[in-house]
Amino acid sequence: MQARATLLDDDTSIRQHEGSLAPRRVGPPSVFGRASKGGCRTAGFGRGSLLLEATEFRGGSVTFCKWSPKHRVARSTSVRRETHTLGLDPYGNMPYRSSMARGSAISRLEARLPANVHKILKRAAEIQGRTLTDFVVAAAHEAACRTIEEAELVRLSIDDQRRIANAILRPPAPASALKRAFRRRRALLRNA
Amino acid sequence: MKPPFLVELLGAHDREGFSCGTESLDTYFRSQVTQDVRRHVTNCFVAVDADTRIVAGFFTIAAASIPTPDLPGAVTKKLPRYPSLPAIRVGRLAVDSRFRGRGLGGALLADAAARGIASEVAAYAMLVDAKDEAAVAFYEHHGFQRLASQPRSLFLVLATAAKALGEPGPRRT
Repeated sequence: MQARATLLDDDTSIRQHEGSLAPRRVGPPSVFGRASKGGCRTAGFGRGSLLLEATEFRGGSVTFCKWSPKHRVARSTSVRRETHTLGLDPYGNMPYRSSMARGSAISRLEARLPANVHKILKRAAEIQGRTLTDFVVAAAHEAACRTIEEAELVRLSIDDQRRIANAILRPPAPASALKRAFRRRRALLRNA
Repeated sequence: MKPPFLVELLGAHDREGFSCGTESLDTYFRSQVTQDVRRHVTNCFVAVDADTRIVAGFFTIAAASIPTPDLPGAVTKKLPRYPSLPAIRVGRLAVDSRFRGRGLGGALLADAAARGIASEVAAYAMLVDAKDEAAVAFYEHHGFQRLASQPRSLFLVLATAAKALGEPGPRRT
């Protein structure tokens, strides 16, 4: 795909990552060859600006191309890169990008993994039209959030739910051992 | 007599010497609990011997929530919050073997409940996780009820504990 980087997406994360390069929104991008809509994410504008990623809407589907984060825009540019069909989020951002803490520091994670697992991950990423990193980061993040949430959630059977609800509505009298425990608390724990 | 123990948030306490006899609890307290605290998975309180600063016992306490999607509207309408009940969870509670037989375990359990009652974040129930049948018996003795769907977990509503908290006890000296 060839695309011309003329759109500057206002993205606070870029501003903070890049420090001195202040992004501005300047209008829709144009894409060579076809009348289409899309966007490029760059830091800075014009010659020498940092081109991060670009999207292109072609024939109803969204095409995404990713440049090396180090790629600079040369002139008002055309750049050739591999393309993927991609599910972007409603704001046209990379799906994992919105889940990343915006503006926070970027960390790196290196992982050794069996070759066959790597193959499966790559295949899955291809199916979703994402890069391997995007796919892994998004999937791991989702799994982590779910794990944390699950740890707090206590899923109970209908019966247990009913028992707790009834006990809250009509609290039973405390067992005598519990009363003793509270007395011991006062006797043993100084700042109780 | 002054109460012999202080309850403190886990900080720079000596955790190495702690031994309650249950290997998994000891290991957890020695090597894992600080990580959980740092990651805000749980909080940990310790009972410290006021004279020697030896850790005599500890408990971990965390926020929990009990979804009640299956309850009929007539019931949930009367409940404090819908669709899930805020609760506290005491994941681990242990007393060092050297400090057994004085009711410190019960005192720590009561302290955890008192923290749930006093907490600014409303909590209506207290959940505990029992390591083994002996622990289940300990909690049942204090009026906790087993959960059918989580056999090693028991609950007590904090309103019940509040009644016990309000009972007059011996005066502090």
